[in-house]
Amino acid sequence: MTEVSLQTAVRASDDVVVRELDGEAVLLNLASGMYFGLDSVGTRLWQLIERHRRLSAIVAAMCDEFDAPAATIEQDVLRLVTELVEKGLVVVAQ
Amino acid sequence: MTMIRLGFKQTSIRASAIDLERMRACFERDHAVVLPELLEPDVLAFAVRQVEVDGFEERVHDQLSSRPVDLRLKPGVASAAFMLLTNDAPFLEFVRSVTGLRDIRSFRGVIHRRVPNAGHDDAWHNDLVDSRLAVLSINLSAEPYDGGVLQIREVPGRIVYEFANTRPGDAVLFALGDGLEHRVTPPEGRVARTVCAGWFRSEAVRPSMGLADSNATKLLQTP
Repeated sequence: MTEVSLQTAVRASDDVVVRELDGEAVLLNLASGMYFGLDSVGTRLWQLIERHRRLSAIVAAMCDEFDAPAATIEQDVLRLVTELVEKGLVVVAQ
Repeated sequence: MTMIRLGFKQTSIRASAIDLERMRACFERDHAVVLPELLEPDVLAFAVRQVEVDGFEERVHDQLSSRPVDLRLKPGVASAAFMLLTNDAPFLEFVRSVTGLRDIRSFRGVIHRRVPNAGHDDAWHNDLVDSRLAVLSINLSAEPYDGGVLQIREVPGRIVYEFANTRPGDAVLFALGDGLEHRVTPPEGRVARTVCAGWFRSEAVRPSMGLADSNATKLLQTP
């Protein structure tokens, strides 16, 4: 189980190709051959990962954009990023 | 100098309005325009390597009366990668600008191979089905090949364009139309001709299109 916290910084894996098709991101892991689709909120999270990297900054940005309790957004971001790390789509930045 | 590159990280375009106008004039005059070094070197290297991993299967073109045969890449990572790269919004807009075809919304291609002296052939056809508007052929061969010349003719028979897209990573974008047909001559020599070829279409892309078994996961619900 990957430990991810608000202090964690992440970046896209070098093995991943990402393109937005009709507004939704499709992520292809060239190494594993698996691909994943993100809905519009997940796509926004991916854009913020590429811009901010540190999860605390990403959560702050999403709290500004989405009408939901901060605790809910934080929980969802941590859960999704953990899943992205486990699938090799993002890596924890050193 | 016009530069268009498909990379894993992004599509890079460096072209002035004058450059685009020149390319568009070329496309209108010749029915085709060459896109040199369309693929970044690491994309080409990946493709050359990955097609051997994914593997080919024989394909018969039943829609053509002579039923020519070639090899088609099995669904896999290489096809999926090219589906993403060729449907990138900046690239589609570039193609719309060059062709003047504002209805283009997606690209759907197939990676295929023709081997010299294996009976792999083509026949004159127009591809005017399935919302197809223009054709792109990207050379994915490991090294330059001989033969394999793209020919375009104005029906009933005058050949108006010929181009041997023999350099790996280069591409040719060409027109479809009621009065046009095209074919590719058989490869010669010892090197197989491997390309990603397909059509720009008026239908929107769907993420399941062209990809192997869908594993797309909806990873985050709206809070």
